[in-house]
Amino acid sequence: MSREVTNEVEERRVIRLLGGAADAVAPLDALEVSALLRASAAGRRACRARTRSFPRGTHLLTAAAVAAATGLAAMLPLRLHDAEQPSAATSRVHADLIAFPEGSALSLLLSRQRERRA
Amino acid sequence: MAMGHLQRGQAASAESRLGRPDRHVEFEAFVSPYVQRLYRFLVLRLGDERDARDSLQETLLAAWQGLPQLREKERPWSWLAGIAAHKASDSARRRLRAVPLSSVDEPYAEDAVAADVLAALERLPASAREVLLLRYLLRLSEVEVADALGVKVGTVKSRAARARRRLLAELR
Repeated sequence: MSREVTNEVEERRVIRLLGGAADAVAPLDALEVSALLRASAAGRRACRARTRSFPRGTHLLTAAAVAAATGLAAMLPLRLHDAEQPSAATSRVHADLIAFPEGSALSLLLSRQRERRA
Repeated sequence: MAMGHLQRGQAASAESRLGRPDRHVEFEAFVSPYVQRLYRFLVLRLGDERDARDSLQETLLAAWQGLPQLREKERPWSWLAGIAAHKASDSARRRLRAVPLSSVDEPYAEDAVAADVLAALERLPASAREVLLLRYLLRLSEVEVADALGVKVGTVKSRAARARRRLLAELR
């Protein structure tokens, strides 16, 4: 097959594939199109009822940051306290971690607060 | 066709009487035939419906602002497609800075072949994806693609040939 024919065959295949993929995209509904056009003509962005309200991935980063901060906050008083009273503190902490692996950070924080108040 | 123009004209004058400026009505009539095609292009380009909506909005805003300066009003399609291509590139750059594509995207297409095509497109470099979509989905000429991307026609030809082969190889 000549190069030109090959190119043409490739082009047709690509056109068909991309057309099929584009057809699989659900069209915007008429109301949404109208809102987009009117908002643009008014020089502003349309209300994005069906879009995310925060940047992509921010929630994951925030969750990770909160988890890290909680962990650090839990570890810091634990270490300070360990230095003062090694045996009692560690034994109780280990018991918390075994009993409540997922809620241990929170329970530690609460218990430390209670101890400080006392 | 003539009926369509007549109806649009009647709608336009009716809306004008309701207090909407003629320029708004003219803009909507000018752009609305292309909105769905632009949206589909943006979904395939960005692989995400929400990002595509955002980019479509930015495209329409830019079109509204640029319409008074548009000289060739009889050829709106290549002009709009060029704006959409730029907005999609901006969006893709912003997203790259935020978080990797594959970590949060959900496939938009339930159709297995379409999903394969989307996945293959995402594996292509952005420049290849862009030229493929402008040339073979939006059906712009090589000259129009070159104008939209700010490159030479020869570059469009070579990029398109490479991108075609790569897409087909990805789908094998």
